[in-house]
Amino acid sequence: MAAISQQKKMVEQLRQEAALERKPVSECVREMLQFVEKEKEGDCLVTGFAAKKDNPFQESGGCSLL
Amino acid sequence: MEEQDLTGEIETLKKKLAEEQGKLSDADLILSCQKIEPITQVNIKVRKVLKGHQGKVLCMSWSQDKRHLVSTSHDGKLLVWDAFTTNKEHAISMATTWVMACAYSPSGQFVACGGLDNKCSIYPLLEEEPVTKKRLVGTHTSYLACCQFNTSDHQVLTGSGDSTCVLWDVESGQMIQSFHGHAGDVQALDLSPSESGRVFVSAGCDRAANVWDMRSGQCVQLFDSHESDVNSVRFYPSGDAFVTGSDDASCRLFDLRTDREVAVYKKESVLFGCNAVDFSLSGRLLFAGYSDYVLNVWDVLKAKRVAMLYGHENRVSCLRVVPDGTALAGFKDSAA
Repeated sequence: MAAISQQKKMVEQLRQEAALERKPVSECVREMLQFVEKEKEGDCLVTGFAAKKDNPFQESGGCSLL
Repeated sequence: MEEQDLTGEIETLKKKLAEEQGKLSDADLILSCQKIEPITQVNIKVRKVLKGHQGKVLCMSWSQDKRHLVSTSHDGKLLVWDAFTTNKEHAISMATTWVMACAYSPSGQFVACGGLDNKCSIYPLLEEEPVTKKRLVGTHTSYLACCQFNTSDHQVLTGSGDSTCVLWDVESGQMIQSFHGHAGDVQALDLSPSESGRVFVSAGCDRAANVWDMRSGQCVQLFDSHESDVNSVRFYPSGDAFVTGSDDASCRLFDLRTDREVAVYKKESVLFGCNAVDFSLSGRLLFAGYSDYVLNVWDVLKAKRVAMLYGHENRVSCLRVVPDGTALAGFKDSAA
């Protein structure tokens, strides 16, 4: 009897998986590329900063105590 | 239902799924991106060093204010830093060691953390003595591996060595929803940036990454192509995919919409387990920290390593890109 309940669970799981709406990989790739292109400008770790002072982590100009 | 009918249905469904997978597999991410301009240089330098932890740093989390961050270590210390000045703003000694999980609340007023004590506790940072105002959010039956605030300061999602994830209400300490399905310790989780409050992904020692519906508690998608423990998981910035880092020395990109693995980031020379992963803001770069002291930077679209960042004398245990993408913090065993 345990085998039947195991199988029922499997059927449930597979039905759920079959019901999932999936997109073709080509469409997903297209959308991912669009996203990367769109966000590229704002991605400082990829495109860098326009000016040194735009970088909040850049050390500011040093000054020494005389 | 008769056993025969069930077996028959199982066969039919499996065949149907295999057919569908075949039809959908009409392209390859890496091949499709061959014409894209490669990343020619990665200008990332160490700008700040945050020294202060005595023991191995196990977890870290950035504040939404993009300048503060919290880190916790194996010796039970929780430190809150101002990353611009490198000053420590808070130091809390916890009653437990191996604080493997920590998270900054969206408002910046609280930090949640936990570890070998099996508990997730929350500390209010605005109080004079946060340690005295500690509040218990929830308890698991094994260690707390990871935690994250769910869209507001009022709910925390936890992942535990007891193989479950739980969504807690902070105010009442009640369990809102529990997530059962992993066959081993949960090691990491991440909330969807696009399906806020509705979807999250968890990964663990059963080599699987599970995608959950937060309202029903159901596991809606499961990905188990890794060959060893999955230590880290992070959603792609668009929310359509997520990456995992595993002891099998690879990182894998899984796309939710097509329900499959779409890229593997590995190299023959990369032999050590990956402990931490995160994306740059646009998702073009994947930062991965490994047990051989290196932080590899991968071009997500070409599956090629574009840089190796050193500056760490020990195992990179956790890393996180700042919310606005301006920087990356990586904690090695005792300093950032």
